[in-house]
Amino acid sequence: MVARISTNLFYHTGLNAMEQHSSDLLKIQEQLSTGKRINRPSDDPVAVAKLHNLNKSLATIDRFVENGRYAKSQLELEDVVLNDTTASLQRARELTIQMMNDTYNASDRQATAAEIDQIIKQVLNLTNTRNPEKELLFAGFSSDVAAVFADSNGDGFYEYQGDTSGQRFVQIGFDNDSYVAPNDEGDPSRVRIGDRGTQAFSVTGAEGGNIDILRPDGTTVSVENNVLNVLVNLRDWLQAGEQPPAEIGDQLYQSINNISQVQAQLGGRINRIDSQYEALQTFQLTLKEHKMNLEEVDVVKATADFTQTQTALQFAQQTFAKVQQISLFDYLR
Amino acid sequence: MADLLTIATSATRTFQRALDVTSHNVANVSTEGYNRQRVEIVSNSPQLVGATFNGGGSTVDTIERVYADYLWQQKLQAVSLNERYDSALENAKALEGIIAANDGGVQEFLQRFFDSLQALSNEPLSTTNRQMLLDEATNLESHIQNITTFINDQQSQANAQVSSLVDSINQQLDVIQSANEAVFQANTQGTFPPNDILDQRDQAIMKLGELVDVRVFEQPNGMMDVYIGNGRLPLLSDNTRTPLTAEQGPYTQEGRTEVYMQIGDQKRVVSDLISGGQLGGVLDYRKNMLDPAQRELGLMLNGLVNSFNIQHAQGWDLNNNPGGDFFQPLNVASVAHADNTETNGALITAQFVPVTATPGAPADFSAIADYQPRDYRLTYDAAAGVFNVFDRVTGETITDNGTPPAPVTIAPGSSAVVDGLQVNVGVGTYAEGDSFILQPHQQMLKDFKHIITDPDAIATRGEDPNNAGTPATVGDNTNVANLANLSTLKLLYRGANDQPSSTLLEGYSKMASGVGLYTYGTQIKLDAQTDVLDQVSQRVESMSGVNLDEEAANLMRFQQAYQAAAQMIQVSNTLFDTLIGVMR
Repeated sequence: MVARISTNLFYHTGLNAMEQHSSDLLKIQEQLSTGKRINRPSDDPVAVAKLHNLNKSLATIDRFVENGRYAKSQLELEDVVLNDTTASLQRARELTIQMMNDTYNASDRQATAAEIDQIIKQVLNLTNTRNPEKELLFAGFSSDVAAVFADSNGDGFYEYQGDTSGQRFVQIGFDNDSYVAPNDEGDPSRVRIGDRGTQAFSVTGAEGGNIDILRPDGTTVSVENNVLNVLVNLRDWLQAGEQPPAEIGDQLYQSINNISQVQAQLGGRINRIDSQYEALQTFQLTLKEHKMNLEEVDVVKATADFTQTQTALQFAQQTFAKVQQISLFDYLR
Repeated sequence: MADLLTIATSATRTFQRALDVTSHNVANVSTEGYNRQRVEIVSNSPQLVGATFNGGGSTVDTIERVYADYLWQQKLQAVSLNERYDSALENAKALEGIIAANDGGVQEFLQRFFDSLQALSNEPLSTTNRQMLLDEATNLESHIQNITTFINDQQSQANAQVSSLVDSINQQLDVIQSANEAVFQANTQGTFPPNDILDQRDQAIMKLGELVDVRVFEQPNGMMDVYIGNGRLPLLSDNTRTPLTAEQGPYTQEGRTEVYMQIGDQKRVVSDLISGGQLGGVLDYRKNMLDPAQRELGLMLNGLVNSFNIQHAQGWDLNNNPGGDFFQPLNVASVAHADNTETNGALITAQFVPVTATPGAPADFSAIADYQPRDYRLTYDAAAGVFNVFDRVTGETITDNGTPPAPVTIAPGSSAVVDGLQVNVGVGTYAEGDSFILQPHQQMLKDFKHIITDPDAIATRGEDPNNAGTPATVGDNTNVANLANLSTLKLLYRGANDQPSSTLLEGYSKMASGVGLYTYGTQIKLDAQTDVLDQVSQRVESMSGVNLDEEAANLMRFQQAYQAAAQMIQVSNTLFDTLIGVMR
């Protein structure tokens, strides 16, 4: 026996089919217009958690890249300052060697002492370099002291005023334990920005401590291990009209060497930032691709689906209209 | 005696009725809930004429509606389920779009907050960066505020929907009640079944089925009994109504509308017994999507607030003071049951478990991993003199972290740790069975805000490595770097290896996935149920629906029969005339 079909059934079946196709069409349209397969968690609840994590990793990498840029700018600023310092020290060393020559007399030396005094001021100035945030580059954590080197005990020599406990680290990569201990030195995810003044302007290359210097009056005094004190000693020798001892030239030479060593390390850190940057870029590319696969719609497939559904809807409309035209009542005359 | 004329007359009457029924069918082709009707034509009992039986013509035995009870009952169930998923889905989609949108939303604000910590970690003395952190905290707060407002709206909308659905259910019960009356009257008066009244009653029941899942049983007197709660709770029995009421739940302060019913001499909450229809849909959405989403989002915020405060306390601010609370810590009071002897809910509170700062060593976040997205019910056991703690929704007993885990009990005047939170119970006049509920995670959604307003009070620096217990110099960024690390640290949901399994953002993702799964699942169930409903409706339509072609055919058939019968009257008349003519 043939199943009975009621008139309403024709109507509802036709209508349901059209509604179904319309709603499918809307969904594909949304995917095509946003370009995303997942527009809300219910579109793929499992992928959503992954997407959140990917978004977070991508944003974090952006942050690390930003941090790297900041660190690099700090390090480059330091590099410039150290270059300037080296130039000044070179000049001081030239003058030292000149003044050791017998052709110069006392008054020549006193005149040179004035220039050395200027060099001292200049180097002092350089040690007090601040970043755009007005933080002292060479004062360790005490980035807000008045000056990095000052004559704190009134003997005419300079002593370091900054902090000796640590230096600032900037995070440029993912940290496996997500923890920074006080004075965390070895963490590969972070890069140190800035060197303490005691390190950068050390004479012997060792950090801190004292050096013995020979004074014009023939005494040997112990002063803090920094190049400023060598310059002060040099000035005093010249001021006294004496030939500066060779030791001063040597000390200046050592200081210049030390600075270039600091600069080499600095370059190493800049390189580390750069290679970290490259690594992060590659990582980010992979993540982005993964995200794209997860989130974005396959345009070709979606377009094909769209056309298919559209055709289905058209057929549903046409058959509906045709079926609705047929009625036995039309033949009752 | 049946002769040609009486037979012809009865036949015209019969076919007149048949044509009436056909036209009634045509007229009701689009009437919802109409079952096509059919005339049962029978031949009149024959009469003995001499030795033979002479037929007595035809008559309409009955007009019956073409109807199958089992199909209709199936449809009633299918409609209830369909409406349930439909109404749940509609609500779910609205919530999903707001609290778990794929772009922007909480995750973006969280990310920006942590980015500002990274920036501050680069330049801890920058006033701009310090202010920026506070600003980003404010941004995160206002976003959470928006979500909370929306969730609260959803809760009050759910309340409103429950109230108005209960009203509609009661109105529909009125309609069924009077239809029952009409059926009873018609049955006592008429001989034929009151088809159209039955259709109308069925339709009214179907409408009720859209609102709530009902079971119906026809009584011998033709009246219909209506039950909810899987056939256990009578709404209409012997045509006596037991109305549902929508009122504040037993924890009145909570502001949650529940469905009540008078059972015996007791008024009981029946919300959990309703599973179908629009009412079932709203209740399910509220219980299984809205509430959990609220708890899980709140849990993530509790994790953020507590871990941030703990880490903040590990450092020192610019004024040499140890870091104070950055965010407002949790402090939630309980809500008392309306029947309690002790009605002061403020006696019972929950807060974070206090943690001693350990500058120089990693902070202790272990309590945070114990958080569970639960609401708690504390019920007083007078004999033991303690409160027992239960999961409010499942009724499960809460246990501690011991081996083997022991149930948590709290005596008045003491406190205990419940799922990583400290619950304090004050001394009160508790009686046996007094119950209180605690909603620590829901509360955090409302209270989430930072309380530090002075940028200098942000504890960016850590311990001096050369001098334990004293702050490092001001430019140190150890503590702020560790604050920034909170974004990658796994803090929430202790996993199988006894370690926390989720970062804060993953805590948020868990909520979003949960919301997505509910919506997705409901959509799939709705699709399946729509198919079922279509099938059943088709079968009902196939049996009971009007087919105009069929009616057109019947029209012709009965018209021809009527014409033939009329012709017989004509013949009978002619015969009579002939007979008269013979006499003339």
